[in-house]
Amino acid sequence: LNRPADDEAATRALVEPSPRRHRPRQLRWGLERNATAEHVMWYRLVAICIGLALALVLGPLFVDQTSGEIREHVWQQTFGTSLGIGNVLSVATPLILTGLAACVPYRLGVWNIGADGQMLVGAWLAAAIAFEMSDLSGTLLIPLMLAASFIGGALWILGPALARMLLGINEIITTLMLNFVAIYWLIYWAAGPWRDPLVVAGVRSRSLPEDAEISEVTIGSLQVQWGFFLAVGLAFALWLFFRHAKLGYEVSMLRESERVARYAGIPARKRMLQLMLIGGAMGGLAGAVAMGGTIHRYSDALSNNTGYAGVVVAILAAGSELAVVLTAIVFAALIVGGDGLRTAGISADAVFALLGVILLLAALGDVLGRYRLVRRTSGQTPQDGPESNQVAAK
Amino acid sequence: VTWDLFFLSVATALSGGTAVLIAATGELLVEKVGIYNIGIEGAMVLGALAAFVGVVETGQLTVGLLAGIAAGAATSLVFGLAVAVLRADMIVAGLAITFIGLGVSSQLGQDYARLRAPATLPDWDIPVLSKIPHIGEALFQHNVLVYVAFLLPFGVYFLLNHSSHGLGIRAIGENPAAADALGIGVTRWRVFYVAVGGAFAGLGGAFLTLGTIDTWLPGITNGQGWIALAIVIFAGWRPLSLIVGAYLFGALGTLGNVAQALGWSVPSEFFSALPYIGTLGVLTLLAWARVKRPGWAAWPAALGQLYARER
Repeated sequence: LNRPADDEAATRALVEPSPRRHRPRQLRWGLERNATAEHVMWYRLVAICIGLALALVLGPLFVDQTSGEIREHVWQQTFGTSLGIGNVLSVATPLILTGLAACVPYRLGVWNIGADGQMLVGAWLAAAIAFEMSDLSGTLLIPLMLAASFIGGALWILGPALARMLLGINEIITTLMLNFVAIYWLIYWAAGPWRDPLVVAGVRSRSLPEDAEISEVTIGSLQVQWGFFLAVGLAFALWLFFRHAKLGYEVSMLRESERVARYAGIPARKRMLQLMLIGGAMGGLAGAVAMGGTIHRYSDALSNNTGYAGVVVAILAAGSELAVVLTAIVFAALIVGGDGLRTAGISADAVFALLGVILLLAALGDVLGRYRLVRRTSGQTPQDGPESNQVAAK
Repeated sequence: VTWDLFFLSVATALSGGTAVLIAATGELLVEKVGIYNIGIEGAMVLGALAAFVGVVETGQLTVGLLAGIAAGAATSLVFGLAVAVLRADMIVAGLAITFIGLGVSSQLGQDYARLRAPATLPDWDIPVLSKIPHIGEALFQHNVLVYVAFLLPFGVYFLLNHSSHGLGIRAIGENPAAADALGIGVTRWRVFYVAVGGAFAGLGGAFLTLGTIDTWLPGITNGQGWIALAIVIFAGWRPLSLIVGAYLFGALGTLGNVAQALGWSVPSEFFSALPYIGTLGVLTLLAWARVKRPGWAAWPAALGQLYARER
C-alpha cells in the first residue's frame, strides 16, 4: 500500500488512459487529506459554540420556562452576578485539576478516565487526616491534607500505570473500573465509620473540622476559594514545565516518534509512568480541593462526575494546560447553569449529554481539520497521508 | 441450607451475567471488523430506557424489546458513521457516545424512574429439564432472554468460523486492505456491524429493565458496558469464552447475597465492588499469561485501525 510515489505514478500511467490531447487540462477544486489536523483549536471552539447554541435551542423543550427566561436565569447564576462568578469558579476549581489529570498523560497518548476515583481516594486520605489530626491548626492541617490527596490520587493510578507499563493492559478500562471501586470505598467510609449521626438518609460523613476548610479570598465583591488560584497556578506551572524542562522536551520527542526517542536514550515507559502519576496526583488534589473548598464533608456529592467532565475538558483543550483552565471555566458555567435549572426539569446528568455532543463535534472537527481545500489540475489525484490513529495497547 | 443457597446463587449468577453477555457478544462482532466501540455503555443505557418506555407506553413486551434494540443500534450507528465513514478518533467518539447515552437517558427517563413495568420478560421453564430437583431450578427456570443470551455466542461462533461471510468479517478485522481487494465492502460492513453491536447492547440494556428489576433507574447499567469490553479481552476474542467471562462476572455479583445469608461480617460495599475488582484481576492475570505465551489469544490485527481506500 505504501508504494513509492514514482511507482504509483508509473502504475497509473499504465492503467489509466492518457487524457485526450484536444481537451485542456481542467482546474478543479478538491479536498486534500493531510496526515495531521490543522486549526484544531478553532474547530474545538466552534464545537463548543454549536453545543451551547444547541443547549439554548433544545433547553426550552425540557424546561417549563421560555428560552428568554432560561437565558436570564442561567446568566444570573453564572456570569451575570459576582455571586454567580464565584460559584462558577468554585465549580471550575476541581474541574481544572481533573482536566489536568487527563491532559498530562494524554501528552503521551495515554488516557486517564479515572479522575473520579482519584478524587474520591485523594479526598479520603485528606479527610482521614482532617478527622484524625484535628488538633493541628489550619496552617498546618490544610497543606498536609493537600499533600495526602496528592499522594492518594497518584497511588490510585499506580496500578493501572504499572499494568500498562509492564503488561500492556489498556489503561482506559482499568482506570475506569477503579472509579466504581472508589465509589464503594467512599460509601463504606461515609455511611460507616465517619457517618454523620444526624443524617438519616444519604451518604455523608460528619462535617470536617473548621480548620480543614479552605478559606475564601475576597476580590472586590467576588469571593473565590484560594484553591482556584492553586489550580490555575498548577496549570501554568505544568504548561511551563512541559515547554521548558528537559522532561517536557523528551515527552514531545516521544510523541513525535517513539523509535527516534528510544534511540536517543529516552526511557519511554518510565516517562509514561511519570506522566500517569502526575495525572493521578492532580485527580487526587481535585478531591481535596472540592471537599475542603465547597462540600466540607466526605460525601457522595464530592465527585459529581467531575472526573469524567475533566476528560472532556482535556480533549477539548487539545493537550494545552493553559487551555484546560479556560475550557474548565466554560464547562463549569454549563454545569452551574444546568444545576440552576434542576427544579425546572433538567436532570442532574443532562449536562453530560451536552458535553458528549460537544465531544463528538470536536472529534468530527479533527476530521475536518485534516482536509484542505485545494485547486488542482485534473491530472492530479488526492492522496492520503499516513494514518496515526491506532489503539496503542490492549 | 448451604446447597439451596448454592443453587439459588447459580440461578442469580446466570441472570446477573446475561446483560453483559449479550453486550459483549455484540462488541466481539464489532471488534472482529476492526472497530473498537467503547461507547457501548451509552448504547446499553439508552436501550434500557427505550425498552422500558416502550413497554410502559404500549403495554407490549415486543414493542419494548424492539425499541431497546432500535435505540442501541441507532446510538451505535452514529458512532459507526463518525468512525468508519468519517474516520473520527475511535476513543474520543466512543467516550462522546457514552456521555450522550448517560446524559440523554437520565434527562428523558426522569418521569419513568421507579415506575413498575406493566409487562416483563416471562419465565420459561424448559420442559423435563426444569423438573430435575435443584439443578432444574438453578439452570432451567429463567426468563427467555437468559437462554437466548447463552445461545448468542454459539451463533456468532458459527457465523465467524463456519460461513463464508464470517471469513469476510474476519478478513476486514485482520487486513482491511486485502479484504477490500477481495471486493468486500469494508466501510459498509464496518458500519453494519457497529450497528449490530449496538443492537446487542440495547437488548442487554432491555434485559436490565425488563428482566431483572422491572423498573428504570438513571445509570442502571452501572458500568456493565465497560465490563463487556473487558470480557471481550478476557475471552481473547473467542465467542465461546465470552460465556465463561460473563457468568464469572455474574457469580462475583452474587457473593454479596451469599455472605449475607451466611452471616459473614464483611462490609457489603466490598461485595458491591467485587465484580469490578474481579474484572481487573482477571484482566491482569490474562495479560500476564499472554506475556508468557505470546501469540495466544490474539486480537484482530487491524483492531483500532481506520481504513479508507487509497485512490
